[in-house]
Formats: sequence, C-alpha cells, structure tokens
Amino acid sequence: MAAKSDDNSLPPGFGTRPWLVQGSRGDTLTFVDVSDLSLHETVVPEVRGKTCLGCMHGDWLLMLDESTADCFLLRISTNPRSKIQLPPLHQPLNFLSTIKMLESPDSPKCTILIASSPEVEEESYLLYCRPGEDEWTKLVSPFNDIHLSAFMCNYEGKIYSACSNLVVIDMVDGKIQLQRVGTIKDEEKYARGSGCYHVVESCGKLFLLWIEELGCFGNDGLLTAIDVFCLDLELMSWERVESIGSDRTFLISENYTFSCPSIEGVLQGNCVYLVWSSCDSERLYKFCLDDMTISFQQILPQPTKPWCRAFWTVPASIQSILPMEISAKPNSLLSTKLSKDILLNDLDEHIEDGPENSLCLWEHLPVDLLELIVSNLSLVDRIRFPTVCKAWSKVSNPIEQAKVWPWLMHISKQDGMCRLFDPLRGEEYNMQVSIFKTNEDRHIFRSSKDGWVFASAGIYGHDIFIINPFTEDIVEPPMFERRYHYNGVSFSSPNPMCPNCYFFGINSSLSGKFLNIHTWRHEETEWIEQHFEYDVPFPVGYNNPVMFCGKFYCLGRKGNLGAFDPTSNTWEILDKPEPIHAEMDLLEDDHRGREFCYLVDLEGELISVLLHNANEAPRVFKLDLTKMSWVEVEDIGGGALFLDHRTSYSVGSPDGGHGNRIYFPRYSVDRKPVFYDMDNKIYYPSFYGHIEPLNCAWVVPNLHKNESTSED
Amino acid sequence: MASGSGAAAAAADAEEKESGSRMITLTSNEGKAFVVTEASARQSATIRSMVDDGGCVDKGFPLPNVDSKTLARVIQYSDEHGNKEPHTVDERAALAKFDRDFIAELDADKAFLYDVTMAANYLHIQGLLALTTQCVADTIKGKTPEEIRTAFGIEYDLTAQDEKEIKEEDTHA
Repeated sequence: MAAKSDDNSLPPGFGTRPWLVQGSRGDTLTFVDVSDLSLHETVVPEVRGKTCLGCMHGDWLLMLDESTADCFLLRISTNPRSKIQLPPLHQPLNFLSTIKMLESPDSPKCTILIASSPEVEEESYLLYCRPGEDEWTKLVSPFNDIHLSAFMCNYEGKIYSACSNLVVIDMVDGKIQLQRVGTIKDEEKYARGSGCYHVVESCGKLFLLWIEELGCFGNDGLLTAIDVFCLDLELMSWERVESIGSDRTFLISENYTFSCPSIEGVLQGNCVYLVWSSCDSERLYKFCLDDMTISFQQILPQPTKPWCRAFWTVPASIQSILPMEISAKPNSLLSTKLSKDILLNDLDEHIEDGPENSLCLWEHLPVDLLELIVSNLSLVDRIRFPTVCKAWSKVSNPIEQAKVWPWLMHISKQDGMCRLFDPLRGEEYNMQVSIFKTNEDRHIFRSSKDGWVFASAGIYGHDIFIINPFTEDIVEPPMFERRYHYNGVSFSSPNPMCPNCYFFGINSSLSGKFLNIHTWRHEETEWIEQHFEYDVPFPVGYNNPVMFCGKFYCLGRKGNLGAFDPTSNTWEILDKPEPIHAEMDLLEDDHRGREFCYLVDLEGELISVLLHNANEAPRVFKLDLTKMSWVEVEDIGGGALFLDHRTSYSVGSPDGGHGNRIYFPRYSVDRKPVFYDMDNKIYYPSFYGHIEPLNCAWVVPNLHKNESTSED
Repeated sequence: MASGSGAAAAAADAEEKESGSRMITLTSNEGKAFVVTEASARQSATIRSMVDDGGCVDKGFPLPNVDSKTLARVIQYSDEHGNKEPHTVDERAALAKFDRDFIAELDADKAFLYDVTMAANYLHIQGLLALTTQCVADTIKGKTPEEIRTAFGIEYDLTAQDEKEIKEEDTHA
C-alpha cells in the first residue's frame, strides 16, 4: 500500500537521490523510492487531469492538458510549488517523441524542445519555446537525411542528437541552431532486430545503448540483450564497450536518460536501470554489465498506459558531478580524447589465499581417500580433480558415476570463461572453453540438446555452430542466409556429429500467417527453406522444437502443435490437440497472446507449460496421446522441468526433494535457484528480484567424446 | 572382523558390555600415553578389533603412525561420539554442532586436517573420516585446479602431455 499524504509534503529522502515519479492524470503523484521500492502518494491539485510528459533538470515536470492544450512546467519540491506557463501545445501525444530542456528554468537559456515522432510525421522538425513566449516555434530539420527524433541528450548547456549523425543543438542569439558535426559509423546498425535505442552522456562521453527484446511483444516482451557503445570522436564511430564505469549508473525511462554516480545499496555501479511496463505491472529492470545479467522488480502494481510511465527525477546536484579533469575543459565532449582501455573492466579473478604452509602433504593421500573425496564432488569438480597434480590423476574414472541434470550455462564476455550454475546444488562453476575466447565473434546461445549448445556468431548471428562445451567437439552447419531470427532450432540425433543427424529451424511472422521451415543434413551445402502461408495462423512459440516419436514437434502460441517429419520432409499443423487459447489476438493489445509457452518431453510424454505473469501460476498440460488433447495437470509425477525460451528440459525423478518443480533460468543473489513449487503453489524464493544471465542456456553436461573422432 | 562363529560374537558382546567402563591406553609415535574409555576407543575399528582379539589391553596400544597433537584431536572426536549416545533431538543437535565446530577448526589449518584425515583412515573412524573428506570436498568445490593447488599447498607436477592425456581420458568415460 502506498503511504498517502495530502499535506503536499514530499516523502523523506526525495531530492537527495534519484526517485521515480508517476502522474496518472489523477490529482496525485506517486513517488517510488528506489532504495526500498516503497510507494508514496502526494496530492498535487495542479496535475489533476493533466498528462505528465516527463521530468527534467531535477524535478521539473512538463504537464499537458490534452483537452485544452494547456502546457506548463511544475517544480514539485519547492514550497509552494513553482509553475511556469508555456504556450499551448496542440500536437496530439503521438506526434511527440523526445522532449528535452536546454538548461533549467533558472537559466535565461531555458528552452523546451520537442522532436516530432518519426513514426507519425514524415517531416522531421523541432518545436521549441522559452518560458514567457506565446507560441511554439517550429524548426524543420535542415538536414534531409537526419531525423532529430529519439537520440537526444543534454550536455553542458547544449543538446546532442546522436545516432547516425552527430548534431549539436544550441541556443544562439535567442534562436535554436542546429550544427551537424558529422556522420557516425555504426557497423552493427543493420544487424539489430527488435529493440530500442537510448543515448546518454556520461562523464563527457556519449553512449549508445541498444536494448533488445524477443519478438515484437511490445510491453510484454522479454529483454534479452544490452549492447553498449561509446562514441569514438576521432573515428566518429560507435565502438562497443563492456563498461560504463564501475561508479556510474544509467537511468532510463521512455526517451529520458540520465547518468549518475552509483549509490551503495541503492543504485549499483556499471548497471543500467530501465523502467518498463510489463503485462502485469510496471517493472524496474536492472542490467548488470559486470556479469551481463538482468533482474527485475515490480515498482507499480499496474502496468502503465502510454504517457503514464514513471519518470526518473534525478537531483540536478548529482547529475552535474563530472570528474574534474573533464569538466574543467571547455566543450570537453568534442575535445576529450576517449580512451577505450579505461572503460574495460579488469577481470576480477577471485583467487583465495592459500595457507602459508606448503608441505605438499595432500599429494600423498592414498587413492582410496581420494576416491572418498571425489564421491562428494559434483561433475565439474570431478572433471578438474585429476588435473590438480599427478597423484590426484590416479583416481580412476571420477566422472563416470556423476549424475547429470540440466545446468545453466552462461557467458558474459568473450574471454572464454563459461559459468555453469547447478540448480539442484545451488553452486556455480567456471570453465574455460577456448572457442568462446574470441575478439571478433559475439557468441549467442540459441538452443541446446543433449549436452550440445546451438550458438551463433557474428553481428548478424547467421554464422552458427553447435558445440559440446565439455569436449569442445563442434559441428558447423552452413551459414543462415539472413540474420538469426528463429523461434526455435534443434536437431534430431543425440550426437549432432552423426552423419544422419537432421537439423531443423522454424520461424513464423508475428501474426502466424507466414511460416518458414529450415532444414539441413551433413551432406548438404546449404539450408533448405520451405515457406508456408496460412489462413488460420499458427504463430510459433519461442521455444525449442521437441524431437518426439521421430518428428520435430513445435508448440504454437495458442497451444496447438505443428510437426515436421524428417523422413518424409513434411510439415503439418495438427488438427489435434485443439489450441488451449481458441481466441487470441496477437497483433492487438492482448496480453494472453504474449505469454510464454514451453514444450518438453517428460519421460515419454509431451508437456506444455503456459506462463503468464507473477500473479498466475504456470499452467501445465500433458498431452493425452490416445485422445490427442491437452489435460491440465496439478503435478508432474515428481519430475522437474527446466524452462527457457531457448530450450527446456525435464528430469524424471530428481533426487533430494526437487520433484514437482519448475525451474527458471534465474538464481538469487546468494545462488539459490528460482523455481515454482507445484506442491505448495508458490514461486521460490520469489518471482521478482532475481538474476538472469542474458546469454545463457540449460545444458545437460555430456562428456562423451564423439566416437568417430576419438579412436586411439 | 573378529566375528567367526555366533558363539564367539556373543562372547565378544558380553565382554563388551562388561568392559564398557574399562580404560585403554593409546600411545602416540612420540611415546606419549593417552588414557581413554573403551567406548571412546571403540570408535576406531582398528582398535576395536585389537581389543576384541583380546590383545594387549593392559599394555596399551602403540600407534606408530599418529603423533601426539593429532591423537589428542582424534580422541576429542572419539570421546564426544563414543561416550555419549545421543537420544533426544537436543542431544543430536548438540553433537551436530560439535562436528561443525570441530571441522571448522581443522578447515582453517589444512596441514592439520591432513594429519587428522590420515589418522582417521588408519584408525578406521568412519564418522571422522566422512567429516574430514567432506571438508576436503567442500574446499575443492567450485575451484579451478590452480585454486585447489593454492588452497592445499600442492605443487603442480603435471606436464602438458599429462594434462592432455587426462583430458582425453575424461571424454572417453
């Protein structure tokens, strides 16, 4: 419950550090304290019925009455509140994109600028006005090829528009002038799928953020990647960086971006915080660039409608903190030489201090004691054990008896370091995989099967390979023709090196009316594509095709199935089972159509899971093969499911009370796995607040080297 | 084990009951004598079989492989586990806490942990051996081979060829 105050007072702590503020067209403003996510409401009569267009220069809200075009600035922290009237703004909301204020209203240079929306307006223009003026001035972009829309950020009393061109927007003799500095190279521009850009200035440097979403799920999507680029002014190009600085935090909401110093316990360094509406609530996402993970918290109980988003209010005092050497220089953005090196984080390899004695006793443990020790170890430790020293290598077959279940594998950098999280034991291991050590390729995990990981390389992700990370065996199918855009990929044999293994990829248009099947066999030189069009759409879910009874089964988002038979090379959408969701509008604002669905083979039965949101339990269905219909079930017979949009797995009877659980690719800060407990019907430890690696996949460790290459 | 016929086993049982309060002397390799209850000594399968064989109970048992410091620590464990049979939940919890504290101290001193592990192995004290080997396993968990070497003070003595062979062997399993 929000603490509500009606005496116009602001919550304690407001104004000292970044908060979120939301106006919902009522007469209250809601404040979110990001240190504990508590809500505070304050009655502000001036905002009644008005739309809040943003919050700038500390705590200045830009308010618009859509019915009367009344537009004004309102400062909320002063007592009484300060209001500055602006000329009426007649543009409908969807005509507006980025709004910026050149210096605060305390400065004579204060100017409000609004860029036209490229989606709605063909003509690119800026509207601007200064407090006291009677009307907005329209300035059409003098550059035909440059849209001034989204990528604007404030810096040192000027505004920089930066995407494919760097444009400086400044007030000269009472008029806004645009100066084109140059074209910016962006090598990866055409490689990007669906997502959004943000530009932010931090410590005298311009950063471009690309945040990728899965599919076109709008606000229900899954944020799957973040790429950070820094503008190299000498090369005039966006150069990929791995860090924004260990003491910096970026805050994003809509087209507003801020860089501020990290605050211990509140805003973590080298992290990007993004306010994002989800189907069930307004969420605050945190991208941690140190280990490339994402986590999210609920900040408002309801999803927000457009133009009701919570905006960051960042005190001007902390925004303006710049390192001395940079802020002392005039116009430093354009004169500071950037050093990429300092942005790269040092790898903080954690090596424990050993005991001071080095008597080398432990080399002499008898083999039976070594075996006793090994019996207490899990797989990765068993693999490493013999490589400690000669004596320890005498233990025979340490890995043979190890039980296996899916582990979450993830990579955060291109340094070859692979992290493996064991969800049943709650432990994390590091493993070097030499193929993942690369300066050029960006490896992204797409799917996995039987210990093999389907990964893509290159900025377009169309150069694919299938690797067993434990043996480093590798299969390299031909490149995909286009950018990686599949809903699911898989292969038929447990060993993809096997000559008769069949490789399969599927993707559909968002509506499900168009569908493509891609197949490849070892002897073929390229993927073979089959195209289908449907009157009754079959939107393919984001999950792996499941090899079941010799066919690849694909789950549609409505809950029905399609199957591809590799022997006859035929694809069909099955009449039965009937869809779980008969009615589903995928293109409109239907949240049901955007829920995640998973298909998995559990001990010879097909299981589908539909996952909607935090407030609803996952729905689990078993396919009754005699009637070919889905039967909703309350338990899965003591099995465990490991779900992810890339690949899902099942384990029939896991040890140690792990049964009837649905595991997600997430863990808590103290490395506890996140799962849904079907017996007690709760998420454990909780739905929100846990860490998900951005580039991960469930993998069942498989140490069997491919036989055809390992004879000796 | 010393259980030939049923009669012999019964006789040993009777003797055990009757001799529950007998004291036994254990002598370290430095010649230092430790007097312990028989119940405590019977934690060790090695000593138990010597006692049951009716050997040199009076003269005491020399333990040439165990030094005084290690023996004192082993006896600390055997006393706790041999002299008290935990019956209640509280007693069991107290014993579990003893084990935790006991192993935490050893964990901090890896050389001593080694000595106690070797002694537990020699004396066949199953509970203690399980405790120390688990502690070793816990130290190994999640560490790279280099970190394991550092933790235990082990020198790296594998050649590149050795490593290659080990890796090959792994993947053949």
